[in-house]
Amino acid sequence: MKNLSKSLYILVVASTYLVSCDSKLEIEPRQSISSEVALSTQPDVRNALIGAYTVIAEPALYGTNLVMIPDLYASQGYVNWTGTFSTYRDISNQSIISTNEDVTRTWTHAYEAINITNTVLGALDVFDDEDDRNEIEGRALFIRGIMHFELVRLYGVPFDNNGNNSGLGVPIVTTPVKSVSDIKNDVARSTVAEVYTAVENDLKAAATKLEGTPYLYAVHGMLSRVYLQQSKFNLARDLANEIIESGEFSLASNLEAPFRTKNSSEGVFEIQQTEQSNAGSSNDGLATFYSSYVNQTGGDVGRGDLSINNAFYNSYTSSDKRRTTMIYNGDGAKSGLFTKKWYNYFDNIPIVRLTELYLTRAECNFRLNTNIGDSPLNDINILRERAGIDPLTTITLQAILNERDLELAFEGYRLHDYKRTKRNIGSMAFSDPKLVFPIPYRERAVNKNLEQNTGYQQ
Amino acid sequence: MRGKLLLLILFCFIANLSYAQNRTVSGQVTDANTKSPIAGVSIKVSQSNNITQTDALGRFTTEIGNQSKTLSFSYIGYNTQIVNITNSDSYQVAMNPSADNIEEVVVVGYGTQTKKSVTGSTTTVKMNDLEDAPLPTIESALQGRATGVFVNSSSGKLGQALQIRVRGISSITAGNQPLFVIDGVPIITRDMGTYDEPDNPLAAINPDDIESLDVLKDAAAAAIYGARGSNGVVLITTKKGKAGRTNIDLSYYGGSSTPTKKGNFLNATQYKELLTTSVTNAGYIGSDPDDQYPTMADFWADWTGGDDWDQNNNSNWVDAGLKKGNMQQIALTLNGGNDKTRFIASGAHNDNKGIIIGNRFVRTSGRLGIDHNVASWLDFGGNINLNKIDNYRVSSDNAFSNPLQLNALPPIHAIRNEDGELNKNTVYYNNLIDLENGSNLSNTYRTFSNVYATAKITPYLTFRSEYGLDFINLEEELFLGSRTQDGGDSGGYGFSYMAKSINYNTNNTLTYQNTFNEVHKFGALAGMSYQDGQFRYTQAEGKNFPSDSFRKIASAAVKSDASSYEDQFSFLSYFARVNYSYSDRYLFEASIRTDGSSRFGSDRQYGTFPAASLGWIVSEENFFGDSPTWNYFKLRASYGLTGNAEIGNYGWRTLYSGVNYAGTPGTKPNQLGDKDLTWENTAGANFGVDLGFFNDRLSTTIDLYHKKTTDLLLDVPIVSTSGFTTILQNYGSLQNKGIEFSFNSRNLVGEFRWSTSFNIAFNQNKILTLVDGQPIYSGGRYLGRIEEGKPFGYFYGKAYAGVDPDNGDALYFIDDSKTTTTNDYSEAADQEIGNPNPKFYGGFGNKFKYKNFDLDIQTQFVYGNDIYNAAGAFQASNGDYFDNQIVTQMNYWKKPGDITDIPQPRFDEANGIRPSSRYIQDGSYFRVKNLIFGYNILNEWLSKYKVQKARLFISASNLLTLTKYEGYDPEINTTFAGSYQLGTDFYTPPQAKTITFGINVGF
Repeated sequence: MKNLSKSLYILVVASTYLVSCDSKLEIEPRQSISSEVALSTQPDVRNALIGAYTVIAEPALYGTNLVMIPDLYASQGYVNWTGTFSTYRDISNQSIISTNEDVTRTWTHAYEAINITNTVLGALDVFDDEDDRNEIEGRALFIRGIMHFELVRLYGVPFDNNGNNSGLGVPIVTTPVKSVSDIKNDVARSTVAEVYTAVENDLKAAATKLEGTPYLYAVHGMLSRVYLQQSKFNLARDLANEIIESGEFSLASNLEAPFRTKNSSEGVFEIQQTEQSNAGSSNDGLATFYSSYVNQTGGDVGRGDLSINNAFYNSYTSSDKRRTTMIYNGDGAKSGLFTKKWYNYFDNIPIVRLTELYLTRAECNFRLNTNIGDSPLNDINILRERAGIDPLTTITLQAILNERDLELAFEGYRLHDYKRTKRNIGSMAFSDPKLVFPIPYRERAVNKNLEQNTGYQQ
Repeated sequence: MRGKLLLLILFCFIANLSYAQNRTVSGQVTDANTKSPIAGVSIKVSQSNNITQTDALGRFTTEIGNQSKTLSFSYIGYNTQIVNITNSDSYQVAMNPSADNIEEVVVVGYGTQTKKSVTGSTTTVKMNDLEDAPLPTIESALQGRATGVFVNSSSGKLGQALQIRVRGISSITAGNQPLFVIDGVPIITRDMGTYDEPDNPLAAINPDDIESLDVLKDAAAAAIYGARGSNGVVLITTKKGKAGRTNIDLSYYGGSSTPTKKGNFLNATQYKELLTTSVTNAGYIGSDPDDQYPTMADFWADWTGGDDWDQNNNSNWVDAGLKKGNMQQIALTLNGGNDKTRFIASGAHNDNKGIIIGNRFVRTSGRLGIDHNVASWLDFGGNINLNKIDNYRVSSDNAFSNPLQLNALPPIHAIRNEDGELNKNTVYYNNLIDLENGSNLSNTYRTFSNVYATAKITPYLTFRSEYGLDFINLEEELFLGSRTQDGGDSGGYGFSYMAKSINYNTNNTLTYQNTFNEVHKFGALAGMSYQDGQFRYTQAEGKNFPSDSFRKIASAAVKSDASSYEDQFSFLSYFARVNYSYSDRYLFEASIRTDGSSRFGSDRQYGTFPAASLGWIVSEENFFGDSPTWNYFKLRASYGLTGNAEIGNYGWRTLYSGVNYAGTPGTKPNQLGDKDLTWENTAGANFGVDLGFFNDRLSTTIDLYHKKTTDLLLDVPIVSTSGFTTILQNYGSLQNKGIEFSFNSRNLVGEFRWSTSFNIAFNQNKILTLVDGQPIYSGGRYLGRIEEGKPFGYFYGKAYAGVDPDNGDALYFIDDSKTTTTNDYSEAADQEIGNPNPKFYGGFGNKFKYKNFDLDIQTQFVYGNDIYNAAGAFQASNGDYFDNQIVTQMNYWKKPGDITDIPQPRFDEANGIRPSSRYIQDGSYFRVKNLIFGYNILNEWLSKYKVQKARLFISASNLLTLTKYEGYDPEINTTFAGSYQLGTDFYTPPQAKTITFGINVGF
C-alpha cells in the first residue's frame, strides 16, 4: 500500500512536468516580425520602402562609400589618404584586390537596397489609392535605378560615348527574393549599355509616377547625371534646366549652409541623418574620415584620414571662399588641410545640389552650343560670384570642367567626371582597368556566371 | 506460544537496548607505505549511525555499541579498509593507497558508474589536485589535464571566455563549446555583454566549490545528452557535505603576476632611423614645396601635427600598457552533518588585478548545499549558489583603446606632458586617457540553484526529479570623458546596459538497477527533461555631459540611443538508456534520446540520437591468467549520433526588423530563413583500450575515434544579388579523427612517492563538403578559410618570397609551385600558407611527496599550429607608417646585394606589408602550467588547538613558456574577427605568469 501511494505520488509529480510541454517549443520572436506579416498592409509596404532608404544611407552606400570613394579612387594630386584602413588605402593607391571589404560591402548593400525595392514593387497590390501607389512605386523605382547606376559606374567598364558599350556592366536585378526558392545564383553581368538602359527606364518611370510630388526633383537630378555620364547632353541639360527653373531651389549665400542645414535651399536630394540614424562617428561616416578638429569641449572630432593635397588646394584662387571658408587647417587627430563639407557626424549628406545642375547645364549648353535657360558663361559666373571670385569674361569647356572640379570637390564626382571626360588620373589613363573595381571575390565564389574584370586575379 | 515468542523477541530487543552499552575506542590511521598519519579519514561504525574522522595526526576516537562488528575506514585515494572490532580499545590501521581506481566512481549523464563498467570515452579532472592553484576560472582546469580536450585562453584579459574544443571542431557556424552541466543542470555559457569579444559566464563559478570535472567525449557517453552532445559534455560536480565532525577549512593565497612575454619594439633612436629612411626612400624629403618637405621634423609636424620629432623622448609604450598584477583570495568552507543530514557552506572572495592596465576581476561567491534523508526511501537536497563579479574590462583587441595597441605609438612621443597630463598629441590615440578620464565596469550577478528529490520506489527502482535555475544579471556601465577619443567629440559619452538571462531546467528520471543470478547486471534509465532560456536586455546611451564629474546618463544633455531586446528558446527531451553486463566481463550499453527545440520550424523540431557501446574486460577471462605484470585489459567500442543546435533562436524564419530613417520608422528584412532547418548531426565511432600493469601501478588508455558531422548548420554564402549574403541551412559535412593516449604511473610508492601522468591527443580536422564546393573566405586582413578537403580555418593567401636583393622589393610567389616570384602583390596567386590547428596537444605532470612535502608540476604543450599576426602589417612593416615596429625590422634592405627578409622601407607604399605568409609563424609551445609546492605542518601543538590541518604552499601558473613565436604569447586567438579565424593575433594581450603563496588551515 505504501509503495502504491508512493508510486502514485511520483506519477503525479512526473506527469505535471510532462503535460503541455510540447507547445512550449513554439516561440515567436519578439524582436522582429515574420515575413508573412511584414508586407500585408499599406503601412507595411510603406515601412519596407523606408527600409530601402536606411540601406542607401548606410556607410557602404551614400553614408560614406558612394560619396568618398569616387574621390579617394582618383586621389592623385587631389586628396591624401593617411588613415589605417588598408581597404581605403588600396583604393587610394589603385591597388585593389577582390577581397577588399569596401569593394564587397558597397556591392552587397546596393543589391540589398535593390531587393527591397523589388519587394516593394511586388507588393503594390495592397494600395487602392492611385496616388499612394504611384508615390511608393516611383520612389522604389528611383532607388533601384540609382543603385544600378552607382554599381555600373564603379564595377563596370567606363561608358564610352563613341562605343557600343558591350563591355561588362553589372547584373540587373528586378525580381524580389522573399524566400529561398526565389534565389537565382546564376545571374550574369549585363552589358554597360543594358545597365544604362535599365537605369534610364527605372528613373523615367519613376519620374512619371512622381509627377507633381516633391520627390520628382531628386529623380530628375539623378537622371540628368545619368544622361551626362552617357554624354546625352541635350537630355541632361533639359532636366537640369527644369530643376533650376522650377523655382523650388536657390543657391545659398553661405557656402557652408548646404552642408550644415538639413534640406537647405540647394538640396535637391539629400540623405537624412540624425543623432540616432547616421553613418557612424568612429569607424564610418564622411565626417569621421574627412574632419580633424577640436570641438568646444576639447574633444577631437574625426580621424582626419582624408586630407586635401596642396596642389589641389592651390588650384583655388587664394580669395576663393571655397578655399578660405570651406577648407581649414586640421588641429584634431591630424594636421593638414581638410574640407568643411563633411564636418559634423549627424549632418545631412547632399547627393544632388543645385550647383551641380548649373554646371551640367553650362557644360551641355556649351557642348551643344545652345543657351537653354541661360548662357554657359552666366551659369559659371553665378557660382564664381557666390565664391567671391572674379567672373569670367570668356568661357571654354576647360573652364567649365575646372569650375566643376572646384565646386563639387569631395562630393563624389571626380572619378566619374574624369572617366566621362577621358582625363588621366595621375599617370593613369581614364580607361585603365585598375580604375574599375573588381567583382567581389565572395560574389564570384557563389556565382560562376560572374566574369571578373580585366586585371584582377580572382 | 506465538505470543510468548513475540514477547521474548520484544524482551530481547529491550534488553539489547539496555545492554547496548557503549564503549570508546581510539586509534591512529597511517599510510602503509610512508607510515605518515592520514588526516580526514572517515570511520564508520557498523550497526550504528556513528561516523567520525581522523584528526591532523591521524588519530580518532569513536563510540561503539555491543552489536557493532566492524570499523570501516575510507579516504580518497586509498583502498577502503574494514577492521573487525575486538576487545581492544586501540586500533592501529595502515591504509594502502588504491591502485588506479577502476572501481572509482565516475559521473556520467544522469547518473554514475564505476570506471570499470564504463564503455564510452570519458576523462576526469579531480579538483583536489588543483586546490592550491590560483585558477582564473573553472574550465581552465581542463588544460593539459583532460586528454583530448583542447583549451585556448584566447587572450590574457581577465573574465574573457576560453575556447574549449573536445576532439576538434565539429561545426562551422553553430557553437563549438561543449555543453556544461552543473550537478545535472545544463547552464548558460553564452556571452551576454556588448563587447565583440565574449565574456565568460563560467567565470562566476568559484573553482573551490567544485569536486570534479568529467568530460564525455565519444558519442556513447555524450548521446544521453543527445542533441546537445556533439561538442562533448563537461559535467561539473560540486562538493557535497560529508557526515561526521564539522570541518572548517580556511584558506588564503596572495601573489603577483607578470606577462609571460612582452613584445620587443624599437627605441627612439632606432625608430627615427627607420622612419627617416622610409620617408626619404618614398621621396618626401626634398625641395618641391607641393609634395616635399625640407626636413623630417617638417614632415613629422605636417603629417602628425606633432612638434616632438627633435624632443629626445624615449618612451616605452609596451610597458605603459602592462603592469605587474596582483591577486588574493580568501575562502572559507564548512562541511559536516550526520547520516541524516549533510551540509556544505562556503564563501570566497577573489581579487585579481591583472597584468593589463585597467583590467581587474573581483569575484565574491557563496554557496550552501544540503542533502537530507527524509525516510529510508526518500532523499532530498539542493544547492544555492550566489556569485558576484566586478570586471573592469579591457576593450576589444581591435579597438584603439586596447592597451596593447599602445605598442603602435612612436617612442618619440612622450607618454605624459611636462604638466603631468597624458599626452594627447599622439599619432594614434593614447588610450591611457580612457583610464584616467573614464570608467568601464561590468557587474555580473549569477545564481545557480537546484533542488532534487530521489525516491526508491522499490529496492531496484529509483525516481529522481531535479529542478534547476540559472539566473544571470549583467550590468555594463561605461563612461568616456571629454578628453577621450570616443567621448571627446561628443562632450562625454555614457553607456549603460542591463542584461538578464533566465534559464530553468527540469530532469525527471526513473532508474532500474538489478543483478540476476549474480552474473547478469542490468540497469535501465528513462527520463525527460525540459529547458527554457530567456535573454533580455535594455540599454541606453547619452552624450554631452556638463562635466567629467557627471557620469550617469541622467546628466547627459543628449540621450542619443536606447534599445531593448528579448529572445527565448526551449528544449524538450525524452531519453532512455539500458546497460547490461555479464560476469563483469562483457558490457553492453545503449541509449536513445529525442530532442525537440524551438530553434527549428514546427515540422523539423525533433531529432533522434541513438548510441550503443560494448566493452570486454579481457583480463577477467580465465585464459588471461593471473599475470603479475599485465593485470588489466579492457576493450571498448562505441558508435552513436549526437546533435548540435547552438545557433541563434529564430534562424529558420525570414524576419523583418524595425529601422529608423532620420525619425521615420520603417522595416527591413534582416534574415532569409529556411523552413527546413533542423539539427546538425555528428556520427561518432570510438575504439578504446584500457591496460593495467604491475597491479595497476602503470595504467594506460588509448582511444581512436572518428567523428563525421553532417547537415552542418551553416551560414551558407549566397549571391548577394539576392539582397542577402547568407542563409542558415543544413549543408555540408566535416570530419574529425584522431587518437588519444594517456598514461599514469606510480613510479615510487615508498616513503618518497612519485607519480607521473602524461596525455597526448592527435586530431585531424577536414571539411568534407560545402555548397557546390564553394569555399568560405572573407580575405582582407584575415586569412582563415573554409574549403573542402582542407582543415577548418586553414590560412590561405599570398606566399611571401622574401626580398629582391637588387632593389629591396617584397616578392611573392606567382603560384603554388613557388618557382617564380613577382613584386606585384595582386599578381601573386592565393594559396595554402598555414594551418592554425595543432597536430597534437597534451600535458605531462609529475607529483612528488616526501614526508610533509609535496610537489606537483603540470605542464602542457601544443604542437604544429601556425599563428597569423594580423597586426604584422602595422608592427612589422619595415617602417611603412608611423606605427612603432618590432626590433627585427631594423634588419631592413639597405643596398643592392643585401640578403634579408625585411623589404626596403618606403613610407606609405605598402612594400611587403599586405597579408601574406610573411606574418605566419609556428605557434607551438610548451608551458609549465601549474607548479605547486606544499608543506603540511603536523604536530601535537596544532592538534591541541583543534587544528586538523595546516598547510603552506607556493603555487605558480604559466611559470615557463617555450615557444618560437615572436609575438607576445602563443596562447592567443583574437575572437572579434569571427569564428573561423583561428590562431590569429591582433594586439592580443599575453597570459599572466602568476606566483602565489598561500596557507590553508582546517579546524
